[in-house]
Amino acid sequence: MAVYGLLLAGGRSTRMGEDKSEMVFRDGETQAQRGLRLLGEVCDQAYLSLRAGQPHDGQLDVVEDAYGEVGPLGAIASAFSKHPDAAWLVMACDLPHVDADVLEYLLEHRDPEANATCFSSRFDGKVEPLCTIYEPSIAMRVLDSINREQVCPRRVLSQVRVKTMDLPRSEALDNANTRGDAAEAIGRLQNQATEKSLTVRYFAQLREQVGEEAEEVTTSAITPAGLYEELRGRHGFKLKSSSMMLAVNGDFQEWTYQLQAGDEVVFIPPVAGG
Amino acid sequence: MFKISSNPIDTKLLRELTLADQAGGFVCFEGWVRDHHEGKAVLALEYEAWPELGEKEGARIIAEAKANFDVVEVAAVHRVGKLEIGDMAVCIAVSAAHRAAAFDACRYLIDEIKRRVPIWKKEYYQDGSIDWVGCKGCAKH
Repeated sequence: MAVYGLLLAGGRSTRMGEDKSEMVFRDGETQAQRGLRLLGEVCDQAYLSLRAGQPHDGQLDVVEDAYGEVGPLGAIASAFSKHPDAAWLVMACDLPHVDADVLEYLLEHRDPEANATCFSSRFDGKVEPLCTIYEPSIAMRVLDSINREQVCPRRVLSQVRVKTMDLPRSEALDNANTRGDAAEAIGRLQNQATEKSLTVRYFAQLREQVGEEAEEVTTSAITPAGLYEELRGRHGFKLKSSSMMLAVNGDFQEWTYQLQAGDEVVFIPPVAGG
Repeated sequence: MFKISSNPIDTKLLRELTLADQAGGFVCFEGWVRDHHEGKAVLALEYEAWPELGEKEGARIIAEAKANFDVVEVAAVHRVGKLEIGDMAVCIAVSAAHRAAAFDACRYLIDEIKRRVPIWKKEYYQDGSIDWVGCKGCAKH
């Protein structure tokens, strides 16, 4: 059975504020170029998934999303309607740490008898739906979920038989949704991560969730965005960094700030004075 | 002056702080605790603040208002702690030579305070639930 690659590049990148598939993290390649190259290396063929009518370079093999604003599930359903008998290795375009090793590992451990083969998240242990092999046997379930307006790919995967594995590298699927995430990814790819101790102060719902007003943290995160992801996994925070402001050493700061040893960091939950 | 305080707000004092011979108009906005939020009955609420950064940011907002509108004096207080329905949560007092600047500045002040000052609100509802309320525009700082 053929395995085709599908790079998801039809998102609107609202939290990043620019098209994530056009960003460059390494080797001078955009995330779209890099993703298609990697998928092309390990799959029989690589396709780019785009919104209907989204402009693109005419040379590329494109699967247009026929389901409008449904998101990744619509893209996957569109891929299955193009090639119903192939398995699809579906990957998001905002995964700067993915390299051929991760995709090869996924393919080597693929279980074609399962409905999907995927990794579990290093943060919450749940399945990572956007670097996953979807077998043809899941296609009907995907369509059914879209029809029921249940468009969360994680939820679909939780209802079928999946083979789930730990990541070969812990950071492999850390994604870059915001400018802070992007700065974190670039710093780590350039080996700037060093261990440091700093203080995190908590207010409002974060303080309640941690049960402390402050904690000393040893981290190798480069930016507050990376630090927040780490703490989110540890404490189960529900807030996304994109909904919060940030302060370092007593005043507002950008999420792309480079953390220093001894910094005092405050993640500011949505404010509601007045 | 921008203060964060756990005491009831003294509106008379705020008004006095803005009195000036060159002022011809005075506008005051008071924010009160309302008994409902998005269709749910509210029993009480609790404001929490980060006072150091809150007062620093509040002072910046007042400086912006003075730079951008033709006002004479501005004084504002935000209360924190547990509040009952009808209690005053915030009061903003503005004096100006003419009324238009006083109205415009007051509107600017309350909008920016809500959006930028690190103050959080925990609502206690009649149905027993409790929630931290978030302002929609808050991360666009």
